[in-house]
Amino acid sequence: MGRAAVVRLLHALGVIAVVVTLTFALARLLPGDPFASIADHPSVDAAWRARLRTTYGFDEPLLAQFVRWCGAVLRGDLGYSFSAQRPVRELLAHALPWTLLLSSVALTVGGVLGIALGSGQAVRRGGWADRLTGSTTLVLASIPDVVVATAVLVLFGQRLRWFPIGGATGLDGGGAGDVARHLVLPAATLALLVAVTLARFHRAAMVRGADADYLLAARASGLSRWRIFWRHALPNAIAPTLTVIGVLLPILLTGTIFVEKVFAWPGMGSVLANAVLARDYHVVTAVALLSTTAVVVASAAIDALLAWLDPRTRAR
Amino acid sequence: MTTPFFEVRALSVSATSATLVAPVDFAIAPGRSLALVGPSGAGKSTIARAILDLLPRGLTRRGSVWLDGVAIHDGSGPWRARRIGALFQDPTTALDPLMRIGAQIAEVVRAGGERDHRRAARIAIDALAELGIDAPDARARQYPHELSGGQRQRAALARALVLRPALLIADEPTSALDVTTQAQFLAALDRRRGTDGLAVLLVSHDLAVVAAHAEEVLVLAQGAVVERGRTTDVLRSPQHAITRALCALHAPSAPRAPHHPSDGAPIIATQRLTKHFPVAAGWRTTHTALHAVDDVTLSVHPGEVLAIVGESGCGKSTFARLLPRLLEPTAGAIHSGARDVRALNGPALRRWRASTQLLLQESAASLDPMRTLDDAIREGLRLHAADAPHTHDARVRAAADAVGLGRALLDRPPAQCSMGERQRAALARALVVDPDVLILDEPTASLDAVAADHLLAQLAAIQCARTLTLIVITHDLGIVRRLATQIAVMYLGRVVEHGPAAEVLATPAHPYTRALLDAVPGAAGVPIAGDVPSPLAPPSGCVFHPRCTRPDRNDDCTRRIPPLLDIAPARRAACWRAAPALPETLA
Repeated sequence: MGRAAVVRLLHALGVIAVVVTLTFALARLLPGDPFASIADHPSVDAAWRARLRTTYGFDEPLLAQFVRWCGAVLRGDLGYSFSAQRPVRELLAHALPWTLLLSSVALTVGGVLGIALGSGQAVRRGGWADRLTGSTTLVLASIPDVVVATAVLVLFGQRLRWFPIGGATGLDGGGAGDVARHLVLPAATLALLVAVTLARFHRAAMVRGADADYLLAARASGLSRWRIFWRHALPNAIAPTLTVIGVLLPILLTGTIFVEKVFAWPGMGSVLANAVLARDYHVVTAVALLSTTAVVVASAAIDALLAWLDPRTRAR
Repeated sequence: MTTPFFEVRALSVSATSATLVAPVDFAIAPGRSLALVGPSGAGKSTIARAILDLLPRGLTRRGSVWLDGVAIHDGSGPWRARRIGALFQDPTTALDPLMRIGAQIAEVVRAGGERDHRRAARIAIDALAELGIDAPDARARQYPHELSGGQRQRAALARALVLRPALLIADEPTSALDVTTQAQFLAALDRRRGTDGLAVLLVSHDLAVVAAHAEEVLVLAQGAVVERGRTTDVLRSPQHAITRALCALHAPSAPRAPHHPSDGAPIIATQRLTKHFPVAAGWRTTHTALHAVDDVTLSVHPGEVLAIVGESGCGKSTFARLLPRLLEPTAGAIHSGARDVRALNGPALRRWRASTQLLLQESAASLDPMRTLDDAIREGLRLHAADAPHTHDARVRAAADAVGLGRALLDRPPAQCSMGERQRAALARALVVDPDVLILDEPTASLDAVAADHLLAQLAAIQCARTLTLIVITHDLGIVRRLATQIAVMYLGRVVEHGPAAEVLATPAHPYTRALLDAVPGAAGVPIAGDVPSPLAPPSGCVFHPRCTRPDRNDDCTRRIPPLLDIAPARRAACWRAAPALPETLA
């Protein structure tokens, strides 16, 4: 057990190192740099332009820059954001709680909804409710996130005016109630997107397991349908669903750019989008570091959960 | 005659368009057993599920089921497990893999009205103990995958009987079990009939089991009863063609004469062949090894049919995979004539594998579901045959003809074929490259009696026509009688007896061989107790000593491993007490 954990940890560190190196290199392959918009103006003196870049080390070879950056990261210094005019750590420390709030609420609501929908469909498979839910989730899964987000925004924010459209400011701005009101629409949109994906996977897993002999044996043993569902059918079908959740988890952390943009939610997605446009290298690489770590941690957590659920994987 | 205890009246099953089971009536008295027999597709299992009101979607039942004069149906209160228990075919899938054995039985106890969790758990353990499962406390805490097939099936039986139902419906309860575990299981069932007056409805395709464990029999064909009566009468003078055909399948055939003693070089000879699987133990690299195959020295001559028999978990399948080097041996040698098989690599190894074909047990899973049978058979030719592709058509057809596979089937994917057809396609795939040796791993395990008989007949014909060498891995002594010229008995990775089939079957030298023969349904002997010990920690000395019942066993048996020694011309056994007058030098 212990040995496997160490191997797993080394493997995870390797993954993080590769992703961070690639991101560092790719960000710098984009044309321009953080000063392109100001320093490359024809009126700016060439000598001053060069001095600016020397000051921040952008004239050094890429490898030297990378080594210096790695050293800084190991000391806990993620660099400076030129576009936001503040240290990257501060920027992320501000955005991360917003993203964690949004994604955890969306994942919980969407997860429960998706598993419930998928299970309900599987139990009544072939019936009208199954077919209706199936086509609805298919349509919703096919529409791009941004369209769903915009539709939700227009309908509930603009037309019905049930919830504010955007501009959440934080506990010091409007208090918890205000944050909660701003949370409803983006969280509902994300939860819906999570739910439709999960419902499709979960229904398939439940249907695949529906003919299992142990379910027939459980019915022949006089167990109630409710107990058979909770104790036998659901735990045996949940593994693929949990794996999908593991894949969704890191996407929710940074991949919610569109939803965050549409609802002006001050989370990691917004930070990343702004940073890429402004060639804000340090921010982009720091977000990559964070999200890769999240992927690795999420997949380890899901594997641990699957092992806990399934004694057969524990034995190995 | 009093009123029948359990009664089925005019029970029929229909789908929207067709009748699957025509109205059937039968009754079973307490302590008695009635068997439903017939070829697959005859409606046996459908009747069993109709009684339980657990038919698949789209099927409806008519008629009524009575127990003690009361009609049983879904509206008549809880009756499943309380009044009618059920047991289904496959012990590997009948228990939830995610739940401990004890919990699975205890939840039935609680569904039966027991409120106290502790007491329910206690009752579950008692139910396991009652069926002769050793260390029931420990078993109750284990998960299904940690138990052997026989233990799992007995645990499933414990669950089916824990609420003491009046009737047990057992659908092919032993088809997936070894002959020894089958005997233990059926003996446990018979005991409950005697002690509790349990009535049993036995669904089976195995007439040998039916003859020994059911007083009455109903023969079904295509959803209708074609013959019924007392088992002894029906089997002694079968009236209907179907019954006669089923009886003919089980007529004991005389074992085959030993193959002409060939003085030539063996086609495969293993020397002290060993395969241990490393099992990771913990933090530091302390490995224990699973002893799958231990020190096996066997030779097979051209044209011989060697049957390797033993319970599951004895290393038979691992041995089969070592020969074409699909698994690498841990130690020992494999020779074919002058060739050192372990030294082969590249094209020479590929040629060796083409000449030593392996037919796997699960034919359904060994064929690519996306390819037609024709494709599957042809693939071997593409890889191994030197001749021009335009001759392949003829060779594929010839192989299909040889195994009796209709040409119309060749364009179908496996999913559209029956199990028997798939197994024959897998056989054609093995034969098309013209191998010298064919290794068959439980060739009939997934087939019903009729399909199995068909396949064995074809195999025998092909073997004679081509003087093919066969190595048949099986736990079915019927197959051994029918095909084998030689027998090797394996126990816990070791060969414990080897010799000509007729002699070994007539006068088994090793107590384990004796035990296997005694476990055949209807045999007079007492079934061997217990299970095969874990190959992770084989017993000391003779690996069989914990289960050995020889009265003359002694300290040697527990301390020293008996070598496989000549006991008669062409016969070897690994038993300290079987060897006549061991030379002092060896002792």
